[in-house]
Amino acid sequence: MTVPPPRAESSLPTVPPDPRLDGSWERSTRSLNSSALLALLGIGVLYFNGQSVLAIIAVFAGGLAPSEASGGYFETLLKSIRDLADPLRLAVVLSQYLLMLLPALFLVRRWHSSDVRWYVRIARTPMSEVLLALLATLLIIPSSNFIADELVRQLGIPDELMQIGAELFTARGPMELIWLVFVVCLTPALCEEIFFRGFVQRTFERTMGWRSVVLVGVVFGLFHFNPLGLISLSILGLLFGYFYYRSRSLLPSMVAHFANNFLAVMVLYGNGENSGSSAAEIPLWLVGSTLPLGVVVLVWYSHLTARRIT
Amino acid sequence: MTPAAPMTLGDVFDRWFKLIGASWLRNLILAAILLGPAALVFAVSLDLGFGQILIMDEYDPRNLATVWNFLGWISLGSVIFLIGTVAATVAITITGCAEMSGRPMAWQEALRTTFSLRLARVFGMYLLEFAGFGFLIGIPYALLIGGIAAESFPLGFAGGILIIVSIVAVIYLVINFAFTVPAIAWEQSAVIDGFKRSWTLVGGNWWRVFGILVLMSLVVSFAVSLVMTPLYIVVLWDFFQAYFELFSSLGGGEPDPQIARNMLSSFGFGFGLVNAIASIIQIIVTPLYTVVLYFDLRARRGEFNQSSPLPA
Repeated sequence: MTVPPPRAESSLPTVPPDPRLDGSWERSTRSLNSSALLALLGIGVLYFNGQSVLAIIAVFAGGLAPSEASGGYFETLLKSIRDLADPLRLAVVLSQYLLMLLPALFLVRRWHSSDVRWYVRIARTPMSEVLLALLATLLIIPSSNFIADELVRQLGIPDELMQIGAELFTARGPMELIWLVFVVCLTPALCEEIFFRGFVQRTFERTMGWRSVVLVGVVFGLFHFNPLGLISLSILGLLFGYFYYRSRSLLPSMVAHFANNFLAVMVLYGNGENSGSSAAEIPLWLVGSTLPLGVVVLVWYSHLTARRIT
Repeated sequence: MTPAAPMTLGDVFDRWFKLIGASWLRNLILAAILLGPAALVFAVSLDLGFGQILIMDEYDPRNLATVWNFLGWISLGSVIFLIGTVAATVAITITGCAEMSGRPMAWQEALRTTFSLRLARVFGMYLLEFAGFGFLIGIPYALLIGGIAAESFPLGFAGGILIIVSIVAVIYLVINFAFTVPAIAWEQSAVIDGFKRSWTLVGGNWWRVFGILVLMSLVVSFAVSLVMTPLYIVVLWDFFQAYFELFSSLGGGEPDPQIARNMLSSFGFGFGLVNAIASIIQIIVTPLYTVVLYFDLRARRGEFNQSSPLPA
């Protein structure tokens, strides 16, 4: 086997550098892919390790006294998770803002551009595009969730375990619902979108073009460390990345991300004590009817945003 | 690709990613050849080992022999796997050094170069390190155990303090000897000369090398866990199915022992296989960060300012 000649980093046509790209990485001869990869892995290490530390601190600060629970093993476990829910939610919020959003913004500013808003594409976009992105997401969610549910069923995970897993995302009253919408819907829609789309996809996009949507979509799925949800999370990642790539704005993907999480929180809120159980299963007819419509809306979205891509 | 000047932290990571990108296919082939068969033996050993445990009966005097069989299989698999890992580390270090020197090497040549005196020396180096570090940790540990057994507080206390001191000493030495493999594999140094060479290279940069190595190992383990988490579920599907069945049966009183047997019987080979894949992924990136740092340290010592040819 002979050694292949070195490849060009980008197949995209060369364009004169934008004066707004004034960061230290831009002035060096380093690869843009290295910047995206280093940020992805570096912030990943910081976020997950930091979140574990914050969770331990929050749990200890919140008091570790075991609560009395009548009943069996599952009931005791469920009660413990309920008691720890608030400290754990606080740890999630803090880690999203402090260990994901702030480092991402800092690195964008230091490495790529002092005009952070421009780089991550916090930009206005027509309302029709935002609404179409929202509609497409709502139509594709049943299919992506169906895949995850089917894997859970095949593996035979008991309903009780699923209920324990869903406990952190289940509100027991209106005030808790508002707090949960902030923790689970608003925060990830802001922090994860700026990090994954605004920084990582944006930087990969400069050398890889549309392929960055696929790469970052799959990485988004992997980053949730939920093997059974990998396919559905990757589908959502691809969808959010596609909205970002086509619209050249973070707004549609942020709204879509918020809608997905909001729907999940509301379904769990509606189910109450049955959260996580088979009561929330998605019927096949719903998948069969929403998926084709979702594809049609995506094609429509593609036509609507075509002008911006060319 | 040879660095003419010392690298910044960003440069080190950039070079590392570029080196992985430029050599991943060759390194994957090398890892598959050198580590693949060893990994397969390891997986089969685990399977046979767990098979031995499964046929164990309670209160049977032959149980001890079964446990020895289990340990024997696991040890055999582990030793063969370790040998494969060392060979793959040498081969990938050679490919990385060749790439950094601006003279890319095909995998066949790297394989030929690996199976020489260099490999024997690297084995010797690891044995020496293992013995040395084992001695450093073992003596205070023995003191602590002796102190507890003899109910002597001063002996036990001294052992405890010495354990902490020896751990710090081992970390200090591991960093100083971190570049012995490239020194032996690329510069063809003898074992002791390799240790000396690594010590000289690290001199004055200990904290920097320590920090970067810690950062890079964190990044590698995170990246490997990202890829491996879904793979664990796929490969160990039967194991997890039995596990959740066992979990469900907890609610109904006594768990069914047959489910536990099913769990164990589906664990060995799958676990060995996933472990092997994780090791292969890890081995194609880990030696390369040592290579990048090795060249950076050489640049810091001004070794590339002279027009002397690089050793091959």
